[in-house]
Amino acid sequence: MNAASLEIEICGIRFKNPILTASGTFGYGEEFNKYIDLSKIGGIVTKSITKNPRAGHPPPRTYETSAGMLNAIGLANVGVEKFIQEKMPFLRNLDTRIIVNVAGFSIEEYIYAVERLNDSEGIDMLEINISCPNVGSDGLEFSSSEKGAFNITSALKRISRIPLMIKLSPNVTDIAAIAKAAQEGGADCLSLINTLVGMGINHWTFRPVLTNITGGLSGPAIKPVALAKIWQVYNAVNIPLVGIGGAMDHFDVAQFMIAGASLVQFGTANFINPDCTIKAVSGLSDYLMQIEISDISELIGKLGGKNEIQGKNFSACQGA
Amino acid sequence: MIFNPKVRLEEKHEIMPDVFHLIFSGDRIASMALPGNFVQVKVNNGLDPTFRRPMSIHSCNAGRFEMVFRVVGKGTTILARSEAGEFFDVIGPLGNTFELPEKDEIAVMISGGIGFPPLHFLSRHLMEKKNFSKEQIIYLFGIKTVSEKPMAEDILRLDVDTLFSTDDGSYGFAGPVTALFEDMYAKRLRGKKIGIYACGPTPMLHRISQIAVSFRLSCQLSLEGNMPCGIGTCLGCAVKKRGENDYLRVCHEGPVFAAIEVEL
Repeated sequence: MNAASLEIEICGIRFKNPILTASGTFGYGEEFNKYIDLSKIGGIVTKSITKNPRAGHPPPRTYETSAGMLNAIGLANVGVEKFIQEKMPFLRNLDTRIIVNVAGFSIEEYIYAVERLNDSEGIDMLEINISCPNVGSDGLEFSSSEKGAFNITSALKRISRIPLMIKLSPNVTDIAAIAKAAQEGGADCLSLINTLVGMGINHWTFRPVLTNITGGLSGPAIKPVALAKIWQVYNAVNIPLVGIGGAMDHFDVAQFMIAGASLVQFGTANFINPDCTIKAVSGLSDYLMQIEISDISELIGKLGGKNEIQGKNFSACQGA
Repeated sequence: MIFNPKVRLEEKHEIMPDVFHLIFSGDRIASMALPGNFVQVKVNNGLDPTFRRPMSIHSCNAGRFEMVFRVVGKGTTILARSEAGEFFDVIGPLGNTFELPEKDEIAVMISGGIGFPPLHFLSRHLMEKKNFSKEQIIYLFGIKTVSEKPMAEDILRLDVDTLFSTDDGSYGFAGPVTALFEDMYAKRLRGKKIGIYACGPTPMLHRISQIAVSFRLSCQLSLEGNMPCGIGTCLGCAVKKRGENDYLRVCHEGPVFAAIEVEL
């Protein structure tokens, strides 16, 4: 059998393989250039870019947990102008897809950043981090309500010349409803999940372990949650999904795709093994050969909905 | 160049209770590492602990690099229990390096507790590679109590002028090593051209910074940080830039900083 094709096309953009890096875990790409051949991964998602530069929260900003970590970095970034001037020249010359993550604290801040990025060459997609409080309005995170998700998505869709990937938060009652709202607002695709809100407590000092008190939980610990959310959303919308949450290797990529993801982002794994993404790319090829699938897109949503799953006879797999 | 080899643990020595000296074979890391650099060690195959452990380099010699650490948590417990012959996945050398003293300077090394490894590496480098004489290095070794003195065995082997301080007064100068430095500065060093190199607990480094800044002394600090990645991307190990609303990464811009650069 010939090597399987790892190519995936979503939103009219062809990715050489489904493996992306997750925002906030890969800097602006430059840092990893020393460790891996960046042209081998499907795409790079930058850290969140905001209208103005942000220093971030005071330390401690991270805390190791069982099979994961908490972080409250505070969206530290250079700001959109400096990003365009200093970081895009490196990124646009890479032979991989570039997805710029955008965050803001009001719809106007998002609009400002997206308008500036519209004019910068070499950006294939924008990932919109909507897990930020809307300080300019009700103070609630855009991601926390259907209305919030719809409003920010439709406002950005009106002005963006770049396809929009809306990044959903798992810290909601019904993520499928929020996903539908983002789809209705014009999202080209969705990525999920952002981190789960968590905290750690020092029992000697009676203090939280993070200066910010709470932080986002990421890493392999959250993968089962992410798989469930991808599966739920896959069965609720008809735009492509990008899986995020604890992926460490090619088997995790396969699981996310079987649940319904078209692409998969690697986050915390980059901190443990800087070469995890390119190892997963080669692992995926071997895996597809083993299961005799020639085109990786066949995996997407193979699990099916609840009725399909319950209708299947799984006895052949028991004990496997 | 940064490498990610599997390195073999060649020797393990318990130099006092809970303090271990590990020697690894690793040509490329040993030949590339300079004083101040550190390595990220994966201590296990699984995810408990999740992340690598940043370890200062204590020495590099003949294709081997060494580390000395105190057992403080999960990662160091696993390292301490490992046996010669085991292999470890290591990334390094990482971070920046000490700026070396001028030829006419006296290098004053000040360590607190388990902070001595980078200063040991620096001292050896100065004497063995840069022709510094023993008289150009003064070592101030701060410990809690006399029973911790075995930690200093490699420092004493350097045969430089080494002074001890103990918090409980059981050996050497009674009081913190920062007070020992102030005492020594007033008696022996004022007016001389010196460079301070310090590593230890944050309160100690904070005090050394205060002294250095007020006397306008050249002072470099080797910091540690909460460091999930160690390669500049997670932004976990932030340290405040002095006088600015901004942060530096201990793993990337550091771990060595001039005292005037950072606020501890």
